[in-house]
Amino acid sequence: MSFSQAWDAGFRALLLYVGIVFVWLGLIEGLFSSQSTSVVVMNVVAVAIAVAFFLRARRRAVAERARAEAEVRALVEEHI
Amino acid sequence: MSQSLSVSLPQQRRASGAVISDRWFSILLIAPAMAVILVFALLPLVYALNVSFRFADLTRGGIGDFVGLDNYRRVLADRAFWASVGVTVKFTLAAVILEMVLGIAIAFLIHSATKGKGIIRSLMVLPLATSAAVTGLFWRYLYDTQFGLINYFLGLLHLPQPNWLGDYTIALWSVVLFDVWQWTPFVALIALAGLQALPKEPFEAAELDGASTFRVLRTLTFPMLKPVLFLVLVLRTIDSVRLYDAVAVLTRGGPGTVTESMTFYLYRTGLKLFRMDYASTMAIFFLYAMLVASLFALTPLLKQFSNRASEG
Repeated sequence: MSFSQAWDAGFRALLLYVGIVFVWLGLIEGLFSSQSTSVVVMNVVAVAIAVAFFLRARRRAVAERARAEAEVRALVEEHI
Repeated sequence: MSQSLSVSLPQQRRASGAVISDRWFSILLIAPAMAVILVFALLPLVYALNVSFRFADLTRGGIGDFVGLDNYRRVLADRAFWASVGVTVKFTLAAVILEMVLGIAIAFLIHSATKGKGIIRSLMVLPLATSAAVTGLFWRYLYDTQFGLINYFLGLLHLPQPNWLGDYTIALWSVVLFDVWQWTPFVALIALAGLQALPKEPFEAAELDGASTFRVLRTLTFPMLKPVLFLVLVLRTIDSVRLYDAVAVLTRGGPGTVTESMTFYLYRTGLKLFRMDYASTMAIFFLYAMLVASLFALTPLLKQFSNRASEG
């Protein structure tokens, strides 16, 4: 995964984290009796989803690179 | 001579025994821009983020204690905030749709005109060249119920003379009309530039094949204009969401709060009521909404450009 890909995926993961926090505060927090419990659960959920998103983006980028390298290798072998 | 021109700058610097590496040279080149972004964008953002987590009622002193997510909870439960979001969405939809439709229609009209294209283009730049604060004042006089030109002409035609900025049912549409007047030429000029840049060959071939005007528009003109129109749509949407100056000059958010946009509500909360904590929180929400919207809007555009580059 290149730096720019990691930056892009990281930024999107951050946006996802913040979005989950906003949605949680607006819609889900009312279902909890304790505010501090809600905040802890919210952070756990938001971090888990953001990290999962980043890892998925990383896996995709690695697979894409492997595919491109295989393509180049095949082309080189064809020429030889 | 031509050989020396083809040598890249880093190679030239190496040849002349430069003391800094390419990496540091490139860092040096972007450093001024980064410094400006840091000072004028990132530091205020970090400060606003800090204030949004604190109690900051300036009428009771400066920036106060840490209050966690309380400001965010309050903003999300605030009806006035959601009303201002509704006004902004309503304004953006109405203004952008009207500007796009009228702008494209005007571009087609000018494109097919045989005389006076240059003069029309110059005249169309005028609303864009003047600040909204100035043209807004001008429009306030046009809208005036007693001395306004619009009501004067309506009176001559024996038509009803509404209170354009004071009637809560039409005040927002008066602001939309002003924005449409100011920004339709922008859409028209960009669409016109796109039309003039289209290659002639496909259109000549379509004409030889006897394709109807509607078919040419549907299968050639609009698909080829799509990237330009999409770009102008994104630019106009982002600008419309930031609506402030037109509201500030024409209605000050009134009558009541029917024309209070998100940015105007933010300004009123922060600089009239001095609730900086609340205003900063809304600013963070606003920034987040803009970032997400830009991400969704720009992704297909960037994909389109990269596809074109790889095809080229």
